[in-house]
Amino acid sequence: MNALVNSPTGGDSVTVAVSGTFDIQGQSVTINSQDITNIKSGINFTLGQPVTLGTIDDFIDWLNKTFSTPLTSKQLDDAIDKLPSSPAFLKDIRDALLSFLHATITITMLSINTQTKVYQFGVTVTPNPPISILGLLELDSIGVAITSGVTGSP
Amino acid sequence: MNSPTETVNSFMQWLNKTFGLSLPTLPLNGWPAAVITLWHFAVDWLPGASPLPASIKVDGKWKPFDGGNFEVKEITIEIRHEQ
Repeated sequence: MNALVNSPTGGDSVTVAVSGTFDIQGQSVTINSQDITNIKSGINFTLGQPVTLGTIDDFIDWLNKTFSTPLTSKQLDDAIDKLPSSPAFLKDIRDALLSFLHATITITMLSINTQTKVYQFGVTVTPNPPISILGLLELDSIGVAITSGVTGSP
Repeated sequence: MNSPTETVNSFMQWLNKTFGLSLPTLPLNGWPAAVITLWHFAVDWLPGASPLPASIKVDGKWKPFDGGNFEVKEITIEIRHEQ
């Protein structure tokens, strides 16, 4: 552990921050606050570094369990299953959505505001194989932003 | 060594006094209840310990929001000192 000089002198600059970790899908994710000297109310946390997780299906269920978001992967899967598989462009959309749900995701941004009780996730989805729409458009990476607030106990 | 009487709040008060900072301290009027709770958590720090470590461990798990199941653990207070 690094040590800190305990006797400040003129011109010294001291900053103080709070760090911690949380578990998501078996991984430990580090979050860091801003410098909390002179802050007036609440602490904001951001992601230490991008974290690659499992599928977006799993992430949706983690959000549901952790933040009580009103959607589960099963509800989403069921809705997609109800989409018609013909004509071809509808099948492409259906396959694209299924590929999207089972793609690997990386959390690239996380913001937690304790004052407003708002959290934001920025997620990059990497479908494998890439999603093809009518053979004209190919998506190999998709960015998704999730913003919500915590209103009470689940 | 654990010091059951020292908390995040008393550590902040000590930092303010020692380094002339303006860190938030209790009662934290108008602050979120979750943050006030964190300020009552115990810290692994003894007043007068020298040199002061750059990272102080906070004991316990903390929920940043009053509701929900989001829980933060392995909490530390990081101090950076630049001349």
